[in-house]
Amino acid sequence: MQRDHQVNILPIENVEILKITDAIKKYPWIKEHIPKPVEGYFMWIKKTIKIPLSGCFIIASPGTKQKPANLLILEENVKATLRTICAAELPDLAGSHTGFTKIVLKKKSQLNIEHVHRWGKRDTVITSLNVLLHPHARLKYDYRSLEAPKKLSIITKAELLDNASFSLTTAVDAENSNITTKEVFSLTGAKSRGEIKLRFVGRDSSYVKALSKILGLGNEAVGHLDCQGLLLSDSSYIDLIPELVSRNKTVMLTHEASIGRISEEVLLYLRSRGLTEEEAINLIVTGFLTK
Amino acid sequence: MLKIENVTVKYLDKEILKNVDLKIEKGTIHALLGPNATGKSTLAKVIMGFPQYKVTSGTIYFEGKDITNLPMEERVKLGITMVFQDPPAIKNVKLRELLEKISKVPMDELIGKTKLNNMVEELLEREVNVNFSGGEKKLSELLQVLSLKPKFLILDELDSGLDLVNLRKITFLIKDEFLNSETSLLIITHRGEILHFLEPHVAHVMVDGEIVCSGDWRYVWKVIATEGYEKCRECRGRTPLFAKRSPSKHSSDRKC
Repeated sequence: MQRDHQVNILPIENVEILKITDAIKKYPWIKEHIPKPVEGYFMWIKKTIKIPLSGCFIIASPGTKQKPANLLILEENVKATLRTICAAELPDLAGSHTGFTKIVLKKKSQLNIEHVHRWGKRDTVITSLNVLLHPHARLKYDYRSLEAPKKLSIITKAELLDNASFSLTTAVDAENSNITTKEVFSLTGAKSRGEIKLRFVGRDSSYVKALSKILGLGNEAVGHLDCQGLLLSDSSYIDLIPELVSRNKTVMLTHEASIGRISEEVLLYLRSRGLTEEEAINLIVTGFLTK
Repeated sequence: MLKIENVTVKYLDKEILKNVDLKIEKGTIHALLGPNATGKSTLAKVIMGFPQYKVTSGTIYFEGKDITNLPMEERVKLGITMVFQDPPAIKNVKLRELLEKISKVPMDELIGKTKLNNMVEELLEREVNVNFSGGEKKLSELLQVLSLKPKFLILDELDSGLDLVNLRKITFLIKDEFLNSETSLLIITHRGEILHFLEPHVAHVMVDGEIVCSGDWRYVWKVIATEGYEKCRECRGRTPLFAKRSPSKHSSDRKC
């Protein structure tokens, strides 16, 4: 756990967890992944962990500027689950969180990540995720921003080797926010499989822009993009820009994208069950973001 | 319990209900009959408080309180609710999640009320009305209204899209729950089977946005079944043709 810049690490059997600045002294090869880290963690999972691991980045003081750089490595055949929360303790701390995380899954390893953001209205958040999946590795990454900051930028780049699989879900509930996401999946390996699922809700005064790209290179690689937006206000915008690029005739890439609104008929129906309009909208939005 | 006094309603500047009077006592079952597109479902939605229907004159009272301008969710809190003829699909919201939000009854008790536990359990995990069959839609509607413990329940074309076997099952559930209770029912239909199953105290006939007759349901239905609603049109403004039998003690103001 990191609170402002203070780091607390609890030891876990079969997992080596260090401050990234300490880890780089112990393992100089980390520089190949993260050249000049200032703060952040190094997590090396060496055997299967049955209970979920937890991580937490908190902004607790006004104006805090976090710059974590993290490296997560799973050894071959290892399975693990990681739950991470990044949040501000108060809504108006006007902090910034600029993070970079690299994930390396070695052969036949499997990782599930549940990542929740809950920021204050004046925070600025920029996160980059870089993923390398070795043959037969599987990554499932569910990211949810339930209280979006003033500005949120998420960049995800992934390379999938033979038979690797990556399923990314990004769900953002935006209000008075500027949201940008960019996803680039390179399906380099044969029979690699990549899926990007995006869900955006635009409440008042929000601008959401998502640029998603799947690049099909390996034989019989399969990629799918599923982007959906729900626009709730005339003062908001949602731009979804899916891109599929194939460089191999055996590749199969598909996408579905839609931006809609909540129908008046549905709202009235839910009100006829005793919900206020706000409760009805929240019920639909929660379902939209979590399914 | 419910009293509608001389209510006229417009939708998009068109008058669709005219001077409607209706009085429904506590614990009674009323039927509202009439041909298609005559205003029956509109009356249901006006009682519920759908905002697109404008009451241009008259008053609606519920338990003595003027609810003419009360928002829909407030009317639900008072105990008014309805089964929709064709409820909309709600993507991404499971029936269980909706019930957890609205229900005044514990989920186990609610499922038990239907005596269809396996079917209900499966339905609860599906998105509300998404790819539901006609019977599943009615069961979903019934679960929702049961969960609200209504004082006044409108069944809008409960019989549409249901075969006789399923209609019997659904009406048995309604009888189990509401017969001999203090809940009042308003059955909207243009078919006869549901009347035989639920045996309302009074039947009303609506034609062209007006209630033209009220009386014993057997008599009313017999005339409709043999002579059609055209006969009701002829009756409008005159002494109704089927005004021979005494209405029940729970009848509305206007008597046949």
